[in-house]
Amino acid sequence: MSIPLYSFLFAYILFLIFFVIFYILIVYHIHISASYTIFSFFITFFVGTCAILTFYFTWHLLSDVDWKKRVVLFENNSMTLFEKPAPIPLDENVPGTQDEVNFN
Amino acid sequence: MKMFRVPKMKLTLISLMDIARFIKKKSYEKIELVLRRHVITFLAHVFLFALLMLAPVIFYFILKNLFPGIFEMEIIYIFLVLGTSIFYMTAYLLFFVHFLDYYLDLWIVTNDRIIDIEQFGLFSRTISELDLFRIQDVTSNVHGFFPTMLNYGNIHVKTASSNIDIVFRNVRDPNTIREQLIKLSDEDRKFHYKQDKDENQ
Repeated sequence: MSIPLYSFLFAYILFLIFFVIFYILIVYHIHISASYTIFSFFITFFVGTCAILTFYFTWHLLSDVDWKKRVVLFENNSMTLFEKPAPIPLDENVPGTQDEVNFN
Repeated sequence: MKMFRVPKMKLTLISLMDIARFIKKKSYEKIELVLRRHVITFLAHVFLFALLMLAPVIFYFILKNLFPGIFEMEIIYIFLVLGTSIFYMTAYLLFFVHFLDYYLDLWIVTNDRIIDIEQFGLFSRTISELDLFRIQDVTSNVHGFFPTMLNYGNIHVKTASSNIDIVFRNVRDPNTIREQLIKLSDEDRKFHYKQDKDENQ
């Protein structure tokens, strides 16, 4: 079974959406609790900057990746149970494995 | 280039205005104290965050020494980069949630009441209120090496009539605050006593 590489990218984007939602939620909490001071602004700015830098470096490091490639997760051998096995190739040098055996 | 600097006084004023709106300040009320936990109590989270930041770097060097060719394999490289990115983002979120937990614990003392706001994680908050004239007992305690050195501790405010007891956790200079609370409570009690007397006459 194989899946395209971009499915991992989609999972990462989903995580980023989750991150942004939580970030906005925390900023909203700070705002409604009348706690928007220089210190809270600094922490908000610090976390936001770190997240943007991390995203930028991730994007930069993965910019050359061909996302259309497929990744083989595991080989699917289970079907061979229900299929006729392939014939074993005969070796001419080994006696007893040829089609016609000369007993003389 | 023109530089704009916001004076500290103005920022304090903005913050106080926000707090006044938040607690729905009455016309006769005056905000006396706005208390938060001592910043040293947040330092443990800062150290944890620093350790989390270092973990992927250490992991990278260990992997590089044990399996030198591992980063040549494209699929492993992609997984490691995406995984590290997710790890860092999660660490930022955890740090931010801990900051929220620390910073949104707030005690506001006006000349009429005490408002205790306690934040638990991201989705839980408790707000309780206590009239100053109901205060029966105020106790401050400073326990441990760091609290003694840095002068921070807890203040327990108890009332006789209601079952609400407020605890100011790890606030700076607890003894001075305790004295201020007793003074404010006495003033409020005198005011209420006078008001009751005027009403009876």
